[in-house]
Amino acid sequence: MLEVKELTKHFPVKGKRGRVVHAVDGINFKLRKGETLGLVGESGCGKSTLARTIIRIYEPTSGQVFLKGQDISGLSVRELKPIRKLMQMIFQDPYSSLNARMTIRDIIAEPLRAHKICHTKAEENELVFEMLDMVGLGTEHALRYAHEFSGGQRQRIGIARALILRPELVICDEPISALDVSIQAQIVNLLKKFQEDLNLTYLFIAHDLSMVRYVSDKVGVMYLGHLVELCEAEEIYNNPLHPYTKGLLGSVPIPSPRLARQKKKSEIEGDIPSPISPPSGCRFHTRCKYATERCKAEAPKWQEVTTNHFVACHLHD
Amino acid sequence: MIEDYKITAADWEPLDFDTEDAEKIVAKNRTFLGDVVFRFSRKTSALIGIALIVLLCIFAFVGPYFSPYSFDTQSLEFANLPPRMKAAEVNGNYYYLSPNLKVIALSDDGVVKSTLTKQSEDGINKRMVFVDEDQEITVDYQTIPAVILSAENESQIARTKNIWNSKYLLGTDGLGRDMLTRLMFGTRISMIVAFIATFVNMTIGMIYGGISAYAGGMTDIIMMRIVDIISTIPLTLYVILIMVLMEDGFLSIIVALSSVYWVSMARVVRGQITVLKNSEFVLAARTIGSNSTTILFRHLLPNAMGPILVTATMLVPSAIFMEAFLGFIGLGISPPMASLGTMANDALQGLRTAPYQLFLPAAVICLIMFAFNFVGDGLRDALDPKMKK
Amino acid sequence: MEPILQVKNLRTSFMTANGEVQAVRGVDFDLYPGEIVGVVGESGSGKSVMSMSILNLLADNAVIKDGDILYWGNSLLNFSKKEIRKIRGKEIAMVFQDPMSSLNPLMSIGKQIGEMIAVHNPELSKLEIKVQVLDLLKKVRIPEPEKRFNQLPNEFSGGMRQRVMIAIALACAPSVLIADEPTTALDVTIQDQILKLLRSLQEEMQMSILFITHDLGVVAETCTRVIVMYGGMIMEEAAIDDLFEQPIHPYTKGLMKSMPSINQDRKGELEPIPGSPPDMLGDFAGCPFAPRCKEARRICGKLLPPEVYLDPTHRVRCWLVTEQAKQIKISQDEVLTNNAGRGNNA
Repeated sequence: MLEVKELTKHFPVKGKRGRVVHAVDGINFKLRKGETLGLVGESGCGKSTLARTIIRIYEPTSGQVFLKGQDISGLSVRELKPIRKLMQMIFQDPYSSLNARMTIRDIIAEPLRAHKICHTKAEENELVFEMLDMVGLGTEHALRYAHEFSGGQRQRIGIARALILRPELVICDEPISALDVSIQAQIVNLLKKFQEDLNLTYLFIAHDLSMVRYVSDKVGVMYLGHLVELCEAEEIYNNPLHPYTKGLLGSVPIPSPRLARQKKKSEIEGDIPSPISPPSGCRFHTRCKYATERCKAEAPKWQEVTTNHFVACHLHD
Repeated sequence: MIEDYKITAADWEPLDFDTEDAEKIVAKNRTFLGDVVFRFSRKTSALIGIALIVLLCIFAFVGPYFSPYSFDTQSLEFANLPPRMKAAEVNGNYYYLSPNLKVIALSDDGVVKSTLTKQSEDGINKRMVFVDEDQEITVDYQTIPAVILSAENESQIARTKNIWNSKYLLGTDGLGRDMLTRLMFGTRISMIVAFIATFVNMTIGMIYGGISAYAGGMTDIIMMRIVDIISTIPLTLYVILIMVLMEDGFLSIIVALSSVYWVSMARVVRGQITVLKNSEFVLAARTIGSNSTTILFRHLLPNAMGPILVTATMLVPSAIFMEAFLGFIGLGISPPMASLGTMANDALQGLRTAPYQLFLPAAVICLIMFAFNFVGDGLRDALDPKMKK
Repeated sequence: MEPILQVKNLRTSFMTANGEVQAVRGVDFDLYPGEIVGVVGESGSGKSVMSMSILNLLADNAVIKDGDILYWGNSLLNFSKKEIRKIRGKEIAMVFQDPMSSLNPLMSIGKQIGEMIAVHNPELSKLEIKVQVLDLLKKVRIPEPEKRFNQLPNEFSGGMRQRVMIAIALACAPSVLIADEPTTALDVTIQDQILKLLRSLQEEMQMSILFITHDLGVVAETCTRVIVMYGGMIMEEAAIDDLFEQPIHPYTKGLMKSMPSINQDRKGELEPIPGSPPDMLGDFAGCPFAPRCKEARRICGKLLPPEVYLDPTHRVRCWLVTEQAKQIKISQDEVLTNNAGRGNNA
């Protein structure tokens, strides 16, 4: 369904000629139809940039993105338009991702209008109301404005907008991080339901390893623009290989005081280095307990350690 | 409260669980506009501003229909009459002595009747005699100001009394035109010029700034450097040059004003759009596949409308001021049409003897500026998203 | 033991264009010396407003309608502005969610911390203050404090800034620290570091911490006692182990069930709480949680439930645990069968 090859995106740094932010650096992965890939990483690791580069909000610096076998990374805006129907995005912030000056109906109908799908207003309304019903909102909400809704309701409107074209690939860019705990589960369940009903493929981005577990078939961990580990979802929780993945898992707070006391803490010291001048060699070596001279000098290769378990670490050569 | 209520077994039935209810929106269905109007109406100064603008509009656009005069109705015999006249009483009749030594007969309720004809002048004693029907009025101009002498005793000054001018409520100008009527027409012209200029500025600024910000990159840089260059030229000078090149008149003022002031509007719009361009709802529109026109006109500009409106409201007084300034230095509307600026200019010649001719248009300019600034302030507060909640 | 801080029947409202928003609707609790109390709630539960009310840091349109806040038995609400300023920072300090907006971007870190000390100890010389500041920077584990002393906030990362905020809060060794979502804006690895720091500082300095958060996981790892808030009221309060092992209130239970956990093998569906948080405008008929509660009874929609003490440290505001409910003898099973299958489709 989706294949990403050596995808790289660098942003020029303002005022400093020639210096770039290494937001995404040589990412490789494949995603089969109907699967969900969870992408996890701390802020600044480039996961959102990766999503936006795949959906071509940003132009990739180098590398390719294949959607159903077609290379879409070099397409022009016009050539891209039919592709947009296949690939949609759900945004992080339900407050800023909906236009405050438009009614809900207009927001959800926008994709239909952009692709000139409906010929009559009645046809358009029918599709919009059907979509509203699918996300658990009623027709009585259609003429209201976004600011009248709660966070969870807004996010469902965002989902309705993304799904009305019946795309095959949906990129969810932290769709739940701005929501309350009790609402997060609603959205996650809704997304899972749609995946079953519509056979969707998800690229699900989160900073939180715990929720990713519930939605993903595969999990990828990103650090400073690099993918450091990628494997089946259960595998990453039971058998994490990369020291960063271990640290990330160890720092997730456990909602159970008894387990929290038992928990053996594997922790990560220090801060994330600047992506403008990332560390040499393995980018994690500045915070890694097991770092050796080799980690500083040489970037680890992206390799398949066991079946379907990829990792980039010298410990697992 | 709990004691008051008798809990029955039925109360322990499960609550009817209504999924519809869980999605209900309690808040009133209030549109963005409704919200703004509500916040705006809570600010007294803004309401005063709106009331002032409405009154001024009625004054300027409806007022002339109730005036017996037109802006160019001259009656030279009644030139330079002030709104309040110092009338001398001679045998129960009232006479106003104008600074240029004309004697005008008044009724006792302030209606000017006629200018008297001079019968004789005594150059040695500096006295003039005017005739009104059957009596003579003697004016002594040895002293400054000149005085009308009492009828009974020639060495006595006649008793005077201040009377409101009830034929020309705000007096007349140097050509004997009714000030009130000219003020109405002047306000009308000034407001029309200001509104059209602001509207044109807003349109040009929105399109220019919108395109510049939306295109970004090199286009943005070049377009904004052009704006920078235009704004380094002193705008007043620039307007004056345009006015000199073109013929005097209504159209050329509008052209001059609107070719200049869009610069600040373009900057405001560009600033807004640059921020909004990266907000998620615009990114969403792009991933949906909406074209640039939709994004610019349905997403970006409506959301930038708040600051644009505030800037536009603030542009109105500065356009009015600029128009007045142009009129004042003699580049404005061609006579006999009045604008606030040309009226002020006309007043200059007789400034010493008839200061009200300058004061009146100046006061109207002040009122308009106050009103629009109040409204602009109110709008800014009402549109400020931080004021929400 | 005498409580250090008591909040009694606190009611705080905001006067807005749409009417009176009753953000806090009668909150009672005590904070004892040396304990960490967690206040958990979703957005709009009133937890932040409650904490801001304690030091009277509320916005201009907020009014404390009723209740009292006692610090060592003295009402903070009766204090003048000058007196409350003396308490702020010296006795009760606060750490906020966003460290960047609480720091002055044009002033060096050392100066900002020093200012706090200088305000409350005017007799100290510049050198003495600097020594204390460096000491504090070491305490919050900022590497190379001498170098960091003269740097501006924008040279610090988010986690480092939060450490600076903690240093400022601790500058005068307060006896109460109110931490309002101190780790929400941070990444998990950094959050972990900050939580550890707070715990060790608490042990070192023996202060009381009121820890406000929306994350039950953070509470589980940090606190000794938990208060669960919903709709501006306390729904449940219990010792940490009681609350997590035996949650009683349907809201607490719902929260736990809707939370994913990386430690349990649960690959199934999450059970969300249906519906949306309540609108805080106007009054509630009955329990604020009733419209979303799977176990709700008719009474819940009519009358506000009373607070019931299950044991001296565990109180719940729910009709289902009242004496009346026990007399009617509804069993938990009956509730479950009656409500099977509903509320999963939201």
